[in-house]
Amino acid sequence: MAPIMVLCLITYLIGRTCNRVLCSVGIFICVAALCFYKYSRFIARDVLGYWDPHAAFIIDSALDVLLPVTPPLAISFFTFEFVHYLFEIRKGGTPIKSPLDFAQFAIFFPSLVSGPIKRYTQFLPSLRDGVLYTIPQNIVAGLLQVVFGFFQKVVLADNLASYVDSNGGFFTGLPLFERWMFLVLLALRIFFDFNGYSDIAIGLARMLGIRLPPNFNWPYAAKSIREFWQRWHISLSSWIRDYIYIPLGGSKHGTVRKTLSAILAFALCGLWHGAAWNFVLWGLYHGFGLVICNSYRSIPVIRNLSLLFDRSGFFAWLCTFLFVSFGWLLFFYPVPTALEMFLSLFGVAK
Amino acid sequence: MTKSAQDQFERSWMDSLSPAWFFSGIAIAFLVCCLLGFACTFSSGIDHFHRFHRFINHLTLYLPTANQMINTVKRSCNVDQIIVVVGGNSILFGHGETLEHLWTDSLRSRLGKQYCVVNYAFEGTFPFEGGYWAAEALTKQGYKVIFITDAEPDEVYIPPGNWLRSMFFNFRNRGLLIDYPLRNQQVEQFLKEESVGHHYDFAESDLAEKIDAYTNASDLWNWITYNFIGTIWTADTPFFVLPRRCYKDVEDIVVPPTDTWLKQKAAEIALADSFLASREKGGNLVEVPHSWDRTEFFIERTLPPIMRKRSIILATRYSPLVTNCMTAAEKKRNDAVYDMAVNHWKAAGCNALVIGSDYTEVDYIDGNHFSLFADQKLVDTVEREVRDLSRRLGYE
Repeated sequence: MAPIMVLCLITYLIGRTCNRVLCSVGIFICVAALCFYKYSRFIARDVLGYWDPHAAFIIDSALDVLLPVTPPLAISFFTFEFVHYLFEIRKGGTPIKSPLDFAQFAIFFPSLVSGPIKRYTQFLPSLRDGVLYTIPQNIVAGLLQVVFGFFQKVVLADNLASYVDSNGGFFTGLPLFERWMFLVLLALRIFFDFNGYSDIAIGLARMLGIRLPPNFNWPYAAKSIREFWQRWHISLSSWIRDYIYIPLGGSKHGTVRKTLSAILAFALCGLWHGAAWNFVLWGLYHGFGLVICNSYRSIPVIRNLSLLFDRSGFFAWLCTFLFVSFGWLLFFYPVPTALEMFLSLFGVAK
Repeated sequence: MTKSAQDQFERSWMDSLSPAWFFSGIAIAFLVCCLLGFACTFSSGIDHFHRFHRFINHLTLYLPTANQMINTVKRSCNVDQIIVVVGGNSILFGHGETLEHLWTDSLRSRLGKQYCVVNYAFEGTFPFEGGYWAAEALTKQGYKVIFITDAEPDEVYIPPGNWLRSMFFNFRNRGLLIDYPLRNQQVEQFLKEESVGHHYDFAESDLAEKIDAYTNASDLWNWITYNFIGTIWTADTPFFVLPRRCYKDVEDIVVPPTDTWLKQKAAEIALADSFLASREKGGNLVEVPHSWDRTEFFIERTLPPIMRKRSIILATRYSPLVTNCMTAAEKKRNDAVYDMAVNHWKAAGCNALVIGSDYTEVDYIDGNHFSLFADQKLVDTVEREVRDLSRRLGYE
């Protein structure tokens, strides 16, 4: 926890200065810390190693000494919240004066490990009011949400994980029907796992009278990739939009820049999930999906399909669900394995 | 709460719940579940029981409870019968045997109505896990019990066992085990060492079972899962919502050992034997000094004296397919190690004998599990030993 505490202190002190330059420095420090603890090995082995294996080996050996066995717990979530905070201060927001308030924002235990990613302007007033005026109704509602979260995690997600782990290695040997069933259950597994954690966190916070932002809103009911990302891991996707996509230019500088910003934002989103190429590719996959979603009507080659997509809600839903589900193969498995699994869904055996 | 603070939460059906009734409902539901669990501690036995097969054992995440095991015996046996509890691992479990040819059923027929044989062996476990604790609990309750297990030389494990450690605490924290100070001290020491080493498996099992002794949640869950609906998916129980009683005891797939496996196993055994027995100048094989201390230490701390008298340890040999991969000297040392093991068991107060020294390759289905041919010999031997022990204990 020491690195997190240091980052916390740096962020708080820089925030108190309200200095734009220092805020930028602070953002750089937070991102550098995240890159060091979480991505340095990936950069050394999988990026530099491709160009200069010898240098990569030297750096990797040095990292054996410098890095702890595992990265500091939840460093990704901490970094995003600290970057959000400094970004808002840099834009002219009011800093958190009390160190206790800042500590509560930084290490609020329900959302510590897996989010949702909080916004301090919403969290702190909620914290003050909620804790002072906790009412039984919120305890009831929060407790029910926690129980529901545990049900999703323990009964649904863990059982699905057992099934996926048992059959993942034999995927190409499964009957065709079961491969498709596997795909659907894989999608459900990650949803229940993540949504369960989010419900537990949000429910616990509600029991304290504190509102945390919702994180999922029936994402598999989405009828387009844009809608999917408005429903899936909402706190992350809105963070990516506000602190990567919009600063890169957003939609205000023409189609080309808009497209590149979206793709880069999603690539970083993928990388945030894990330090490996399959995560980057997963992010790029969704980035390209979003680009196509925003522009498919103007692509002549798929005009008929786009008409069907616009007119048939079921077709739109099916395409979106399949797109997202195929993406989970990239998310969970190395690229060659994911590709093999994808091809075997269509009976193309190796 | 201020209006603005409450307004931040979206309205939902949960707002209409009355907190007083809700919390009362939780408390009442919890008490009802505890009472149902308590009722299950009396009625959780398994009818038409043969053995804890794959679908009702730890391999598919179904762990029989102490009460379930004791109740199953009480359903299968009369109080005036001599209860023969067969424990140990897959060897005495009857790996590869179908229900039609289960060796413990043959033993039951052979021993007659005066005896009641229950197969409480659990695959992949140590000699004094699982069935042993049931035997001890029944002994404490005044039943006439004989316990049979199989053990390789130097195969005594710590008192709480390994795979079934939560079962040990399930028995212990319900006061079903004999109060044996040496074992209690050993368990407490393990718990303390664990906390220093920051490994909390035992402590967590102990605490969970202490709570369960009051709530009886495991008894309730076992009863529901066996009779009504399952909740845990495993590769062997893909239709996991089916109650476990619907899963039948099926024959295990027997994989013939490969040459590589046989040679590796022979080498492992020879290496282990070299730590236990050495050749002195005259050519005789003697015990390596202090090599059996650990065995004696754990026998003393795992088995109360009253249970040692009632236990028959079968030191089961590996198939000649394995021992034929050894050199002549290694084979001789292996023979000696088994004799030494039996001597140590006997010195501790147990009854012990070597099984399989005169068995041939056809007596095994793989490296160490018995075939139907061996079962007959095994039944003959065990029947003789059981009757002999019964007489000495004054049961007959």
